[in-house]
Amino acid sequence: MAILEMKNLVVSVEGNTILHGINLTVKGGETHAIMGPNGTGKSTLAQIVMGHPKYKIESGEILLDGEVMNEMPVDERSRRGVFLGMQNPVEVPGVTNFDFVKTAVTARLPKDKHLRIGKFILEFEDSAKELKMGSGLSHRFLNQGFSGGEKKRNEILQMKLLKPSIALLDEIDSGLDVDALRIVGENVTALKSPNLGMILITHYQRLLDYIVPDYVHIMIKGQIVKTGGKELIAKIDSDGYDWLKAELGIDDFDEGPKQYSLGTCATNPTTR
Amino acid sequence: MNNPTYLEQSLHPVFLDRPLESNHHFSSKDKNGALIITFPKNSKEKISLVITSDVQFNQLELVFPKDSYLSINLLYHFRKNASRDIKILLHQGSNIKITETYLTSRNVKTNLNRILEIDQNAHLLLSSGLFMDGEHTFKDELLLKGENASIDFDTLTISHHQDRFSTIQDIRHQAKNTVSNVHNLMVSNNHSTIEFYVNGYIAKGMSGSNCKQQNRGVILSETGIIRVDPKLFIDEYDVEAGHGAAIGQINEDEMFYLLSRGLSESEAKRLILQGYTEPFVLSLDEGALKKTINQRIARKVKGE
Ligand SMILES: Nc1ncnc2c1ncn2[C@@H]1O[C@H](COP(=O)(O)OP(=O)(O)O)[C@@H](O)[C@H]1O
Ligand SMILES: [Mg+2]
Repeated sequence: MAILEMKNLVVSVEGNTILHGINLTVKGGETHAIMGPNGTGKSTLAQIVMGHPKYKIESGEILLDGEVMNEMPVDERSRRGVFLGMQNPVEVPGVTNFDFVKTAVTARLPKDKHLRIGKFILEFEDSAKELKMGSGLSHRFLNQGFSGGEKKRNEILQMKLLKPSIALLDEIDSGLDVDALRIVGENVTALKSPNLGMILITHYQRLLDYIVPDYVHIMIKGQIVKTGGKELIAKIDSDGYDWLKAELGIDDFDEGPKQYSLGTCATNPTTR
Repeated sequence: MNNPTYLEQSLHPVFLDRPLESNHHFSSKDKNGALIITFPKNSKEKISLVITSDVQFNQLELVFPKDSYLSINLLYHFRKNASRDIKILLHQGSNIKITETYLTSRNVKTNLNRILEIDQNAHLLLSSGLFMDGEHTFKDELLLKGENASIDFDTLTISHHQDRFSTIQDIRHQAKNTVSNVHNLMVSNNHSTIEFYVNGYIAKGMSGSNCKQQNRGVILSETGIIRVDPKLFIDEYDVEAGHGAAIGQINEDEMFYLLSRGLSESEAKRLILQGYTEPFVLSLDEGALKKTINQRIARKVKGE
């Protein structure tokens, strides 16, 4: 059973401290929801656990099964069982979806084992079917020209095939219509097991109608300000986050969040 | 002569540096140092032409007759410096696919001037793979001469070490309803430089024409350079035209995405680069040549 721990985690992006001391433990079999207003640091938490090079740990620790992984390379984290379903999955032209997933699955096999390709193709197709994804999908380029909903389903497809022991799903509900949300919800729920610890990041309650969490954490301004059970979801749904402001004496946390985008013009080609 | 074996082993090659045998499927004649080759209208076998630096002509003319329908391979192989003028003529209604590969066996300097003339209702699909070492200048003049003439022109250039590639592509829409689609892919490694000057011209009166240029380049090293200068000169309203250029290092977010799924850095890089090289490699027939090209690509990408 995997354990992911964050201890007094302080994280900055481009010189701005975003996470101010996060403490969180997620064990296999548990599902945690992290809710909070936009710009509060939820994606930052997900990215730092996966090891995105833009984010920097100022202090504190991330541990996987008791081992500090602050410096662990991104690909090793993945092979050790960490999975991040991204808020904005990247498009990679020229690389087919199937080749990509096949390479990823192969990368986590022990050195003396080969991928059984026939079996893998079946599993790929079954998983795509369960997610109600079109059949042409495997030969399309990775996320290129996918609709928002298709990209999110594609993240779950990868999760199904990569079989992580710790999964962080960052706003997997955004861009999904009602039917797609149900399909994604059912698929993720079906993956629940004692061998999987999950963190669901969202700022709406609707995802949590389909995937029921054991714990709900409210994050505001880079801190987890409240932890409870599912009852918190309903409260947020009806009252928003303002009541917490009063209760905890936080002011102006919903000042318009500054918008940044990852990547720069020089390295993030817009015309392909 | 000592040509590398992959040249000999490519499909039915015709070496232009040897006396041409009489049983070839095309006719050829010498005219003041120019070699003119006229292709048949069609052919069951794929025709491969090998042009080496030992070839004695200065000017080569490839002629595709009216309504011809052919797929051919051109293989350029340079062991020493060379300068060549090449003319490719597509007569009315011809539909031709040319896959051309440029290789060298060491650092050399070459200079290629080409004119591609496309007549009424003719279509040319041209894929060029430039895998040479050294300093190379290409000047391509694409002339869409007759109504409904069209060209799809894809290039892949891969450079490493001190290679310098400079390519000028002038695309001239000289008749109505002409279509050009130019797609350049570039990979620069080490200290190498790749330059592309892509100019699309649509003259007045050439209505219904469509001129598109796309350029994508990836720089694998700190000191590699890719320069792309796409331009459109349009003197007619009723046309479609567009150009784009996307040049940069491997995108950090693309890389992170692949790594986050467990791919090693080299594996991720390989997949991303495959997106550049695969379209050309797929257009090649299986065999010794394809193997050689895959090795060349791997060597340049690794910077060896
Ligand atoms: N790459 C970045 N560069 C600069 N600032 C960033 C970057 N990513 C996020 N931020 C800032 O960090 C804060 C938290 O962002 P994020 O973690 O994306 O919030 P959430 O996911 O909760 O909406 C925001 O103020 C955002 O503007
Ligand atoms: Mg977010």
